[in-house]
Amino acid sequence: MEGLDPLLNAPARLQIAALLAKVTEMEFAKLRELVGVSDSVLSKHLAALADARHVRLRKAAMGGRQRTWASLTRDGRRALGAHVAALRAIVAHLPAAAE
Amino acid sequence: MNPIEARAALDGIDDAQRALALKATYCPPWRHAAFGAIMAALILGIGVGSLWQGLLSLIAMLALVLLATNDRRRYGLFVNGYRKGATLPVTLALLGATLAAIFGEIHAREAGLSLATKFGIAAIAFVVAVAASVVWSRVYRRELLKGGA
Repeated sequence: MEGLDPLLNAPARLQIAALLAKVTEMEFAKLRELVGVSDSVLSKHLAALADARHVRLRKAAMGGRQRTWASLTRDGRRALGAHVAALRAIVAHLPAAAE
Repeated sequence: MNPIEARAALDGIDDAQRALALKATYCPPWRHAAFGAIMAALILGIGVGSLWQGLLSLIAMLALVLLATNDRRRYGLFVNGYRKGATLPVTLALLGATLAAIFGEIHAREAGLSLATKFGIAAIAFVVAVAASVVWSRVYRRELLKGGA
């Protein structure tokens, strides 16, 4: 299906991208809390999204600790928009009763 | 991907954004007041003249940085006020009101109007900025809760 991004097929990665689309940037711990995954799982998903240049990661010291902040890149925003549009197109074939 | 899986993926997006609205968008009254005070200080500085303008602008900018740092620490996130979406009309309305207040202060200074007039314009700017901050927060929260992915 055109527009579907294989990287965003994983539900957690799609949720990460959707959350980052609504903020300028979000800290690792807040993302973990909202998505409901472990540190290691979130790290892997963020690394995959960053490798694809969908997400930008930066480290910053806050409260004496090094923290990771994530933000959605322009490419990531575009990919998310196309992915959501493709999902909507697929759902359009869903019978009303099943929705 | 079949339609059931696609629907589940879209619902997952809505759930995540609703969780964001419920867990990370509460803005306490002092935060709105602080934003209003920063805007009022910037506006008042224009009316009262160069030396005070420099000082008030410096204090306002410093307070703005502290406010953004506090937001990041408290919520674990930062949202730019100029973001696209349902909040943009509120931001543009505040921008228009701010420009009107700036022109008002410039006129008050050029015409040599009283200090009370300049404080009055700054007080109006404070009220408008606080109201805009409250409305902006509500519209942002509503946008997240609405879903529709």
